[in-house]
Amino acid sequence: MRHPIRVLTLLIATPAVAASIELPVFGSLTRHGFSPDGLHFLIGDEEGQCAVLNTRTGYAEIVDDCAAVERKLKVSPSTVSRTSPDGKAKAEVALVRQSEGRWKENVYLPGASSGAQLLIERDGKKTVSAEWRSSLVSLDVYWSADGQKVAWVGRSTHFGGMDGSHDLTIVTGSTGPRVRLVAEKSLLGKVAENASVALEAKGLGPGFIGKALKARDATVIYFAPGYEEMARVAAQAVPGGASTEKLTWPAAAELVVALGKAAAGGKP
Amino acid sequence: MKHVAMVCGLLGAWEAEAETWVKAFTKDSSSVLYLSTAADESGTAVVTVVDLHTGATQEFEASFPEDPGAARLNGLSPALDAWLKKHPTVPAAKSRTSPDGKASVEVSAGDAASRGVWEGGSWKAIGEAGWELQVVRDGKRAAAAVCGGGASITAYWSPDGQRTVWVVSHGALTMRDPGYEEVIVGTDGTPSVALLAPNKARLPSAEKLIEGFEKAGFPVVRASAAKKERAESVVFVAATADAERGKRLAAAVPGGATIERLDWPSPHPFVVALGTRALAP
Repeated sequence: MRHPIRVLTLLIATPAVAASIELPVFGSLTRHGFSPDGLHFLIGDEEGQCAVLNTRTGYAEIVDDCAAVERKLKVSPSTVSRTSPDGKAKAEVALVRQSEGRWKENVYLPGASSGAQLLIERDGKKTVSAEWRSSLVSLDVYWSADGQKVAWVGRSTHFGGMDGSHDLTIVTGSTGPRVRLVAEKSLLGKVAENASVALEAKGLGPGFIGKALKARDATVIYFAPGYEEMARVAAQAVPGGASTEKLTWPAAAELVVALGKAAAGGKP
Repeated sequence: MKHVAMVCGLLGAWEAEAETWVKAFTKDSSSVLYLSTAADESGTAVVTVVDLHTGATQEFEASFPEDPGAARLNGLSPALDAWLKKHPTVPAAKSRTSPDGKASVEVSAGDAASRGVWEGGSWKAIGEAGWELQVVRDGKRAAAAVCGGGASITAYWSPDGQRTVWVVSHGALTMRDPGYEEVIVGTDGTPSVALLAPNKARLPSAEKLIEGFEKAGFPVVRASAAKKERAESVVFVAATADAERGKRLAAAVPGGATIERLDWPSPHPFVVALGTRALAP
């Protein structure tokens, strides 16, 4: 019997950055792995509940009938590995170093926001795959079969519940630059999917798809410093083409694809 | 509204997506009330009442206030209004200092792990990764609660000064990412106690013993059902906890209790697993 408070976990859904979710674990983990296309990561405990994360849209949910979802998504068991399936990339953790904080009234502001960058190192170059926003006690790394997606499964505290449970945080990320795709609501279905598939073919698949602040006619690829060339590749790949512009806001991504109606042939 | 129990909880902690405002305590210091607004565009808000002794929660769906930070609890929901009539509250004070002025709150990252080691596909922190939420009294620091680190921590005192409530904010990564926040119930620096009833059905009976423990100086911040039922009570004492205090706690259990080493990662230094005999009529 699960603790009643934990039922509320079921309500956790779309994150604002990438696929991320908390899973209360009872007993040991009995299933964990990616779907063959790397689009989904699933992890569950012996009580049959599991977390399912969509590595493209960022949607994450807790499901009760884990076995059925596992069958439907054709999830194959994965083993933890620091190294990518092709052996050419490896996972790395960079913790945020703490320094003395200060108080303002009853608010404590630490010297640095607690957390870590979860990195992928390839050819000596490190890229951010995902970010961790609390303390980090332990972390397991799972790779999709094509090596394009990574699931980071960690704990932010070693404490467990009186019922023998503990909470896991699962975050999925890319192994290349982080790409966010945003579009007006009418483009978030098939049009966004087609754009995602095109970007994935270039190794620039999005890890989050969400609603844009405004509708636009033409697609724009916003890029972080050092990612202009990749932005050009993305611009050529997106249906209907795109222009590129510098990213000027904190996006937790190296590329932001702001999809316009052009991606749908000019029609919303 | 999206809430989820967090492990660092077990002192009593809940996670709320988007922003959280601790609004009030009941005058008798039995509960804290906080308002949370949803991260999505649903325009919903929830007022959560947390029992400071058991960790039990009650939620009231509320209308979204124009200014959540400044909003009063009255008028947000008819059901909440009715509850507030029966349970008078006082606003939560924005102060580090205890109501009697003799203690203050502090945060220590302590030896928070700054590095880790890889073992195959697993990474493990070297050292203690969590943060300690502390109370400083007479120059001495004592743990009130523990938690994973965050981007900021806001602290409140219950009116009787026996509980501290902490809101740990985990930073936003983007403009539209609200981050998430945890609400944690801690003690006044006195080592916390978790109470386990023999089973779920006996939980209400077990909760009736909390007042006695409190009067004896043992603050109970969590009450739940044990994994297994036992006839005789056991007090589990952490290796780092005061053994003599453990003995006194065992003596305070109705019918007495044996003492065993607490050998699982509990945030509470003392866990009282009540036996069925302790609750016998």
